[in-house]
Amino acid sequence: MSYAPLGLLLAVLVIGAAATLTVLFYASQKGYFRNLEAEAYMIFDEDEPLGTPQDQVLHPSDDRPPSKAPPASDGES
Amino acid sequence: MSDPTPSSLSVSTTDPGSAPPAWRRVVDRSTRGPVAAFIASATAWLLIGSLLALIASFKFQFPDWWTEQAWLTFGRVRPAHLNTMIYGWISMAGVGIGTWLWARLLKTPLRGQGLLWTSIGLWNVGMVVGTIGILAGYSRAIEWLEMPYVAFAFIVPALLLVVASFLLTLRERNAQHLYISVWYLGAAILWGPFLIIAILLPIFSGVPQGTANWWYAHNILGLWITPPGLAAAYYFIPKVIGRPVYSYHLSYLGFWTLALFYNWAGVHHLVGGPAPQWVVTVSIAFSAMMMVPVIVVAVNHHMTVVGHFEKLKYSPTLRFVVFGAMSYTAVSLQGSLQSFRYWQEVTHFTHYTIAHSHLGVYAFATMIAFGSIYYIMPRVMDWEWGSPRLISLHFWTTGLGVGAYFTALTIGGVIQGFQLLDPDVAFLKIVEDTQPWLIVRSVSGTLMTVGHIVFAYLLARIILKSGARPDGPTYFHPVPEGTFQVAGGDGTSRAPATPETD
Repeated sequence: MSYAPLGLLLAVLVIGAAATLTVLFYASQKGYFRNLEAEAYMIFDEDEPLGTPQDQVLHPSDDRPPSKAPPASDGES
Repeated sequence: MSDPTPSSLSVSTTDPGSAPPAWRRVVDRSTRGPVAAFIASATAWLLIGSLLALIASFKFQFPDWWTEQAWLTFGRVRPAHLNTMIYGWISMAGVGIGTWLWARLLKTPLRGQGLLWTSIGLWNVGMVVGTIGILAGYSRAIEWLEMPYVAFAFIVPALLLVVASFLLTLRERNAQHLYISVWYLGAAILWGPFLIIAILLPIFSGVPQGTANWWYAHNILGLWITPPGLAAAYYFIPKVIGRPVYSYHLSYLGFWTLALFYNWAGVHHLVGGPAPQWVVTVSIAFSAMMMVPVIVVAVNHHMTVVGHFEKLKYSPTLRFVVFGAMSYTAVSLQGSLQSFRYWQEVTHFTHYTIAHSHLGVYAFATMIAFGSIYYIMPRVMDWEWGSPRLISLHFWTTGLGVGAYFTALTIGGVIQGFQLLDPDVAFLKIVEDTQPWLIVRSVSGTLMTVGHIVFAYLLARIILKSGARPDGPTYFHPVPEGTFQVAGGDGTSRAPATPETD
């Protein structure tokens, strides 16, 4: 039994950490973290704005007409 | 890379009479086939894995049951359960969910659908070969890697095809900013195949093999299964409640500390084993450091939901995802603490470890996957879920099931651990004392399996667009007017203003 293969793992760990730091540095230099707090809002827009129900089908009035009432009910009553 | 709001996205609609589709709708439709196929395949493996789990668990109550058939013995059924759940269920579900999130957050239609279809085919063939291989006695007897090599000959190319599709889509992105979920998904999609290829290299044997094995097994949980779960939580919690993440800075701190720390933590599984002690000590130190990203994520998710907890009563997605996010905190803190030597001396080789792994893969990752699928499938299929009552049944069977499972095996495992350390307690007495906890294990496993069957039924209905088409969201209860208008983190209806971007 040889412990040499563990050297590969150690190399992977060190290279992995170095690669992570490199990507972090590169992303920072490219401005990916600039004005960061404002980017949290990128998942909202005029279709799905802040504070509106978004747990639903995007366009309820689709190309096929609805055939019955919404299934929201007292599912746990 | 172009405009962050790609209103100019030009993809034709199949219905010329309808209004031009919004970009989001076009993107969702582009993911339909691969996402539905990945999620359907994952659910099929969830059912198979559940059946294998039940067989394994009931053997604790009926040890003479199915002992004549070699392929149904515990030593084969249990690893077959683990492999179907890890590589079949949660990995394929993670890729399906990740594919949808990837296209959505990059604001571009999915590229490389053909690659993904090929991947689905190869992956399923690999899973069939691997599962049959284990049951037929060709297990490699390496935990989390029991499937024979030939199975990975299908699964590794399948993973690489997913990577190719993701990179093609990334290249054509319309979003300038990479949302935090994109970082998590992108990292996982690179880490996952890398880990599997590294561990399959035929260079390990003996103690180094055990060391590499637990480096891999721990990382596949933390760097392949966890990131899609957190990516989903960071997207769905803000989306459903309609407010941004509490602190976007913290979300990045959590990601980068996970990326730096997690890779080093796996060998804490070998405390007391023959691995070099300094390797184990380094892993314990990094396991303790993992408290940083875990607490960061926990604080961020909790503070995002504060003031919105009443929405858990209505939204299936939110309820499953918040359950999973809370479990992430629990399992991660538990993981850091149990890496310490004094506690491992008690819990190692007991049912406590099984409880911990189910808290991670099930209560965290699986519950978030369920919640994500409840959000995604209506959008990709243009159809709604058929029954709030069945979704509710799904939640309570799985939630209570995993809760009882974790509680029973944790308590039983600790008692078992202290008894094993006591030379005055006979081994047979310890075995007998674990019986009540193992009965709870089987009952709670049955509960979860019932939930899985219900979920599979609901999924089949929405894929087949069975029944009449509902035209609104599926909530557990009728939503009182104004409930989802509460946008502020302080519980008021005062929505935070969107800050200016550069």
